Amino acid sequence: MKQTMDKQDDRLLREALQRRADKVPALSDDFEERVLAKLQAHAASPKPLSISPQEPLSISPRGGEGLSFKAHGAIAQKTEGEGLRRGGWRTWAWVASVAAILVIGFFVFQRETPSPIPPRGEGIVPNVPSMVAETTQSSPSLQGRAGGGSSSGQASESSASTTPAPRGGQGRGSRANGASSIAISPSPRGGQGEGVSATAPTLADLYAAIDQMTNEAIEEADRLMAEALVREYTDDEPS
Amino acid sequence: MEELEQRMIDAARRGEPEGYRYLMSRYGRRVHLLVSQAIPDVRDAEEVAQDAFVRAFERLEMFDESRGAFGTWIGRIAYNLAMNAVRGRKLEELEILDNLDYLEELEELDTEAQRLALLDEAIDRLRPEERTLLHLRYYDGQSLQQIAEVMDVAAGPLANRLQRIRQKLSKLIRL
Repeated sequence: MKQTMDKQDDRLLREALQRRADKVPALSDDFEERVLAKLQAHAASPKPLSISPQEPLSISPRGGEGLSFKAHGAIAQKTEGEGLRRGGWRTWAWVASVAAILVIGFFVFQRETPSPIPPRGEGIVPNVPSMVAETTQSSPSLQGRAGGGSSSGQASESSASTTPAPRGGQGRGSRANGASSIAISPSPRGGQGEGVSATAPTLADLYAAIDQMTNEAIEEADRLMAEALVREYTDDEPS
Repeated sequence: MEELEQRMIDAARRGEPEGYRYLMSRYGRRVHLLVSQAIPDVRDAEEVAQDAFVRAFERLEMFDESRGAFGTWIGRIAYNLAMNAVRGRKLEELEILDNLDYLEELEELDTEAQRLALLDEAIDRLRPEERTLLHLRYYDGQSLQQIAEVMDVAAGPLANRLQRIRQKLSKLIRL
């Protein structure tokens, strides 16, 4: 019964669409000629419809071509010819917007994300050595994380591995001769501290915090994606 | 693909008008009808159909016979241009109904002619892409896979959408 009705419906639908198609008038007699004329016109003056990689965007007017600016009102006016393509200013506006959003987002993220490194005087016992990531010119690997912060030029006990070594070990100055260093601890360098409190953050803590934030972000994104898919398929289901 | 059509495509690739004319005479009406589903104005639709052929001939080198028929390929170009025109020129200002429930309030339809007229009106009120979908399926008789290639969407959601439209229209027909 249902199949019969479906077939009847299909027949009516075909009939309706046939009638609609019949209402569309035939192509004009000069259809082909006009297409060929357009084709020739395009071939004569190639005017790319989109921005081609061979011709980079340029905002500055080039010899009167491209984007020109009116003296008053600062209204950008596109002129005929080469230069900034149609929609080019939109592209630039889009790029600028994205860049602005990224910059603002970066600062907001920085402000709102609590630093895993406590500020000076908090969470670090008085004799905590500086947490110094050392890089040498000869080797990019980090050296001497267990160092006491004194730049005495003596070799460190820690290895040259990039794996964050547990801190708290004995050790003195980790800088090799001529090495450049990046201090990531708020504590002054060259301190005398030996040993580290368990609460002192290490690079491992930093990495763990970053991993955790990344995982949370991925989980959130997955959840949102799943919800969106469910909504979409629910919408697409036959009513 | 037919041998003649292949020869004509090759001729068009060489820039020979004979090849262009053959392809236009063979697919012109089809492309025009396809575009007309999205663009009701006859002149606008023909203009877009012309642009579709120009675009296709200019990019004929990109057409890969092994991946599909020329008709499907130019159909996709025409559909994209038509939808761009709809978005750009705001042609989609007709009242679009997401559901056709209002039609339930109408009196019962006795004759087939009345049903067809009502069906025609309902099709007019569908979205351009939905009209195109119906046209390709029930007028052109294309497979879902072919329609998916023309409209550049996956066949699965397309089938769901077609079913949904069809059920709405069936409900209308059976009033």
